[in-house]
Amino acid sequence: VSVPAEPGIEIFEGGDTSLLDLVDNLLNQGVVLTGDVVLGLAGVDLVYLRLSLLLCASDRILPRREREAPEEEAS
Amino acid sequence: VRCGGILAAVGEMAAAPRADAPLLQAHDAVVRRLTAGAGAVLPARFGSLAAGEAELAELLGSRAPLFAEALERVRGCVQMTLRVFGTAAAPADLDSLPEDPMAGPGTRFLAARRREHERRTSLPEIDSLRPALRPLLRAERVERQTSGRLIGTAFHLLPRAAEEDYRAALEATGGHLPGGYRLAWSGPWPPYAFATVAGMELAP
Repeated sequence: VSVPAEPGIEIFEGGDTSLLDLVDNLLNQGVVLTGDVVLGLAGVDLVYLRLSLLLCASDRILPRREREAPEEEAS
Repeated sequence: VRCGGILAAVGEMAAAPRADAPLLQAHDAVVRRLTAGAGAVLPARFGSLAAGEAELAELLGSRAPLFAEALERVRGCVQMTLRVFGTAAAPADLDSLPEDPMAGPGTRFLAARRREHERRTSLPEIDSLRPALRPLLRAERVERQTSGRLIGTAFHLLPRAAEEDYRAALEATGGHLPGGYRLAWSGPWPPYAFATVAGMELAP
């Protein structure tokens, strides 16, 4: 009885390992020289996704500061 | 574009590149050729654009010593990518450490951030491999996943000459580690995951 592998494992352990690693290396790694990283990828921009994650992190910090010092922030 | 001791390989683009497989493979092939020809190469993020040579020279020149340092780090090295699949181990004892009752909210916040950072950048699932790998590695970077069967990825930077021993160490595992973990590795790659220069990273 063959148990189908989970899709992720199947892809990684199949012939496409290097394609997925290629995508990861080129789009997720590497020196970011400028803010101008622009790509077209079926309407989804992976690099901007990373940028927006960074913005989310800031958002999580800032409200905390504001909660702790509401008087000073309101001016 | 030359800027001091650094040489940037650039091409003119009329429009933003599409991130499709043939273009990514072509880009990787160019990076590999450059890596073979030069002693040390720092790949830029795919799709990085500058307005012109002057802007690029300015960007490089403003951080020339950092680039030199980063280039030295990857000189003569290749990257191997090791992915670990399975069910993640319970978080290390980091989470169960008692909090200092005297700590203020700021300290508690920073301590929580530190624990979270340590959790995201550690991969205890491959600890049994470390004695074999440690002498071969020049650097390691870990990216842990928060969901799915892929637990995390270890990017390993090693001297080109150590690649064979690295492969042998992984092949000796048969792709499995104690704890039911499965391994998949690829490489050698140009040092994409180690192309980091202080102040120019978006990823933590």
